[in-house]
Amino acid sequence: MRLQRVSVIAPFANPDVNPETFVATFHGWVRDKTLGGLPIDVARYNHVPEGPGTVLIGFEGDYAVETSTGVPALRYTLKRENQGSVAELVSLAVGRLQQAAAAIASETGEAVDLGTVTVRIADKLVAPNTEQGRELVQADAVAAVAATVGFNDPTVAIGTLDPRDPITIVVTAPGAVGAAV
Amino acid sequence: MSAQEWKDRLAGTMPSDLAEECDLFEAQIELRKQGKIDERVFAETRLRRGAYGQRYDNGHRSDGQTLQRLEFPTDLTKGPDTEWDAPGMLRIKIPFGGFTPEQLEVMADLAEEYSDEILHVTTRQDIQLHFIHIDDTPTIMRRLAAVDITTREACGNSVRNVTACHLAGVCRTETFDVTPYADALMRFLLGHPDTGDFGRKFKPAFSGCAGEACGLVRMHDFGAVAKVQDGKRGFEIFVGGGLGTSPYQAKVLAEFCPEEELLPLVQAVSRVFGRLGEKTNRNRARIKFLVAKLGIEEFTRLVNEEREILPYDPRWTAFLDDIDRFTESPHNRPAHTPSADGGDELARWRATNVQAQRQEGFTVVEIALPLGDLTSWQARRLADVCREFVGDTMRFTVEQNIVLRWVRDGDLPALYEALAGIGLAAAGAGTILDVTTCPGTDTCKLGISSSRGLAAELRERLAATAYELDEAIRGLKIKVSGCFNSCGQHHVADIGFFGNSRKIGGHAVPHFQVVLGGMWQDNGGAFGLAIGSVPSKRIPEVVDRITTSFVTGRTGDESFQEYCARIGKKELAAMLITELKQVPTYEEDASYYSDWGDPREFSMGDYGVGECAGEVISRTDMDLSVAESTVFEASVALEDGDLVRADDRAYAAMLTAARGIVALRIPNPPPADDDMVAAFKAHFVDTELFFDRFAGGKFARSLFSRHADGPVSGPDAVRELVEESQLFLDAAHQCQIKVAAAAQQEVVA
Repeated sequence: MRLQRVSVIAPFANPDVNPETFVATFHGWVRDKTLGGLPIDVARYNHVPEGPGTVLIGFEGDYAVETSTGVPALRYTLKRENQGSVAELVSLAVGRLQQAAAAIASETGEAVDLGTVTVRIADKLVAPNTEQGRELVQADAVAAVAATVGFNDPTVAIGTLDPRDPITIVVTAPGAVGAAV
Repeated sequence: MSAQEWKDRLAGTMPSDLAEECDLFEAQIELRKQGKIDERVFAETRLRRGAYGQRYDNGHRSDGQTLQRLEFPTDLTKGPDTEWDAPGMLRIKIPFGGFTPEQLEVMADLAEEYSDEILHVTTRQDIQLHFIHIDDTPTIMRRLAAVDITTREACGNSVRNVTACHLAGVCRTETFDVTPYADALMRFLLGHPDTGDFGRKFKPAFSGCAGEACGLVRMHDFGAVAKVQDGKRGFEIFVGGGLGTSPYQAKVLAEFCPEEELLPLVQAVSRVFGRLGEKTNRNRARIKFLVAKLGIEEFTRLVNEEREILPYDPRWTAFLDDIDRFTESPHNRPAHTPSADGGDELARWRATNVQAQRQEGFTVVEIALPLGDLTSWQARRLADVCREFVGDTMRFTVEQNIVLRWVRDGDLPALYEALAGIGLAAAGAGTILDVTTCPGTDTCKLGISSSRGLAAELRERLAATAYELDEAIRGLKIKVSGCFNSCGQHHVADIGFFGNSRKIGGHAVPHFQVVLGGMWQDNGGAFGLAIGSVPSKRIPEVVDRITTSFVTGRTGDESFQEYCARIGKKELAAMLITELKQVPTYEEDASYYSDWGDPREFSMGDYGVGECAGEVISRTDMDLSVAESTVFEASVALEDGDLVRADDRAYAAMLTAARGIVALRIPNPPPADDDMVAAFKAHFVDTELFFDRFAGGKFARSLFSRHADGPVSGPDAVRELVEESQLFLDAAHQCQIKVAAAAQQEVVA
């Protein structure tokens, strides 16, 4: 299966994190190739409310400190490495998110709360946000998040039922709160 | 693969011509991958389909210290020095800025699935998606074609988006609605064989009246202003306007062109431009240079002559039978009640973002988009708002905003509430807060300074004091371009800026040239005065000084343009920017050596080769532009009595211009001044290429004397040198034209 965009998003423990302050962090990641892959540039969209925030544009995927869920959060989006099963793609994305969270914690001291992971799949053709589309991806996506982050018996919520929006699955492990990286 | 699946899914939903275009482009991508299409040909092919290059696509990026190599996965290229896998930009043409909720939703999907969830509105009513992979473009084009949108001829040497006043049809001052004519002209010229041989791009614009700004026809290649004569509809036609390094006001081609003659006239203009326009030297290839070279009378004569021999085309008038198709009517739905009182915020929004329509009881609401951006999520909700409040009419503006038309007066509080819920109810549309900007160094290969970074900074600072601003300055326009190419339209702003750089103590420092007093009204009726370059980090202080000086120094109801003209260029420069030009050393304050929103040390190292109209922005053009600024600095220093600096700047200007001219023969001119001057002499003076018809080699001798003898002293000698440096620069431009013409003759021979 090829899914056009697979994103995973986890909030910062500190709700006052300002995405703009990560511009310098991300430029450093591009310069030092901190997380591997091919980082290309940093884009700033902090003037747009509840938007992509500060984005590290990469070839394989993008890292972002964003506010699309209404709170500051770390996000990783698979772009070119988008061929595989849902479980493989979500696991890959969550793994990259964990790596980035660890790097941010180490560089800035800000913790990412991996107790809530939102999976967002934007692909109108293969996985539209319909009952059928969600059925196709939900179970595998939830299982992949749980396995990668180490959740037991997670709570699952659907972020939006508007068929125009991407599939949005919020996976929460109450017991994992406080286990921030 | 999903590309094939989308093709199958959309089969039968796309207009056949657009579907064929997509198939053709997909095939060309495949042929390029197989090495069967030359990279230059492919570059022009993709440009003509709106697929543009983006910064760093040559595989290099400065990290502030060194130029790093970006190792993209394949060696394939999509143009000279343009890596296949590098992200690019896709420009989507939105004729007259008009779009439906359904079209907006599709663009939102595309931004989300292939870009970065941002829809960027341009100053020519287009949408741009950034960070697109070339492999995705055929699918994107098909999905657009399915809702009757094309990217065809959005870039390249072609007829670009046809822009028009965003109030067309509802405007209180328009003569008539120009929408059907803009649409007809777009459809008629799209892919027309008479537009296939342009040396550069061709931008048309329409305006419903002469006095307002919205159509900006005076700065376009082809402009039409609605006019009624003896009860008959027609247009006053303008030709040969343009911004860029050499801004030109358009000339009147026809005082009155009857509506049925509009399309044959633009066809005749296209034929003359295609036949006689410059092809070799692309820096002189816009139609403005042809009109200037021939003179408007001769150009008009040629166009009329061409018109006489055009074979009849039924499309010239067919659209007139269908003109009512564009007549809009109010959305039929019950009135809305807001859930809360909007209070002061609503009042502020009403004061700046709302204006009455011609049709009684209805208003136009302008949605101010910060830096022209909105997210996919916002776009979908805006589509809902549009359906709920106004039906299916939205338009992009040339100030990078969106307007909703046909809003019932009584619905304004409820609409405000709905827009506030999606983050689109910011007040200040069209005011000094609503700064217009091109993409600049964020994504553009030609960007020198960070126009978006500066615009965001100005916006934030001005917003903090928005309600304390004096009435006199609230309505001023600020427009920012990242370089001299003027995509931010700084020439027609009250306060304009364009990016450049200066070398100080071995470090590059981002600067902006300050341009004051341009005219937005009268369709961009006058260009501003460049008064000098200031370090980027001091531009907010420049804005403070300009606005304060205007508030305190204006007399009566004097406009900002009148104020600038009265004070004069020299005094404005002295009053507003001279002190701010100072740059502390790197050791004293390193912040001057990075740009807004970008912590890297500023560098010109990743400045790229432009693809504007599929052509190379030459080294020569860059150098001559810098020399222009330097000559100006010399003249200001002279007026200030700083003879040492005036001498130094005049000499530097001649050296820079000479270096640019040498680049016509030697792509990388010798770095040492002695060697470069020797090369200039050998290639251009000894060969008499740098010769004036009357003055001979006099202008070159100014450089040689100053270079050999060192600084001149005394007011008279310095004044003479400054004047000579201006003449040298003029001669350099002439030389550039001469060399290009000779090259063209060689090609013909």
